[in-house]
Amino acid sequence: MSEAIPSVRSDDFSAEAAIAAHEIKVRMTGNADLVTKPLLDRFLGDLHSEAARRKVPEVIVDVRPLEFMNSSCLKSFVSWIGTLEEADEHGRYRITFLSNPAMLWQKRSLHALSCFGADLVHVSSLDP
Amino acid sequence: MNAEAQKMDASGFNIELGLVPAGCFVSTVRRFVEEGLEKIIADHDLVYRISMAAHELLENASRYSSDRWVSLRLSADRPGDDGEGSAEITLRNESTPENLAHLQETVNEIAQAGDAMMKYQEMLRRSSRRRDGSGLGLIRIRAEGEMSVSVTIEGNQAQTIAKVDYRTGAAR
Repeated sequence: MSEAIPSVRSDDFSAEAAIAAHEIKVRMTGNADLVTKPLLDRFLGDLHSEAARRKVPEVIVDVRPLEFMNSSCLKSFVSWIGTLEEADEHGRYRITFLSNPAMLWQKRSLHALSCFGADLVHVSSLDP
Repeated sequence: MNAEAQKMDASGFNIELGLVPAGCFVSTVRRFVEEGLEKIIADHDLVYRISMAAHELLENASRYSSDRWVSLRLSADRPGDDGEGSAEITLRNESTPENLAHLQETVNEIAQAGDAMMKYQEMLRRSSRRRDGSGLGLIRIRAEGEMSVSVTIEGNQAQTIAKVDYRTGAAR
């Protein structure tokens, strides 16, 4: 848990971050839909600020337990990646998604995000 | 097969719902659709694609509905012996002339795109700069869902349809 990146939680969704020396680990669970979007935007904003401040080389986003993500929340990730692309070289970090092959939205949507983010975004498919 | 068994052996999954307001029930409906489809279609990826499309269409319709009322109709075939079938999702809602014009424009743009995945990437790029809405729901249905998307506008009412013809390995 990190005070710099406050966890967000609703009835159906949660996101929390843990900061280590060379990376920030994020775990998201539940269901990311329209109700969740304001929480997700706030969380990703705090996450980016802290990752840039600490100059971490990598942010790992574990979405394996995340049941679904709608297009509004996908847009939140697209905006995050867009912000990262615009950062100077020293403010950039790599985003690695940990995905669960059993969650079918992840295969298709994370592939789209990895194409969009090119070298900045990677997807690792792992068992939950 | 006895009469009771025939009742349980549905030839398809057909639902029609009217929702007011729809916004807070979108995920509930998606889960219901997914559970219903899983009873007739063994292909989990196809089930995901159809239920994702239902979610995106319902969310779009509820967001832009001027009177908050939204109607959803879904009809999906149990795949036949050859594995063939089709599914169609129809959303109806009223909206403002501006929103309806924008909906028509978006559907036209997607329909005219030669490569759905390239158009998806283009619209992701555009979305990253948008402040209001994602503009991604319909292209996600087309690109990730591999479904066609069309719209008919009459007066202040939109009817948006997503459709897929499928050939799966086996029925449930």
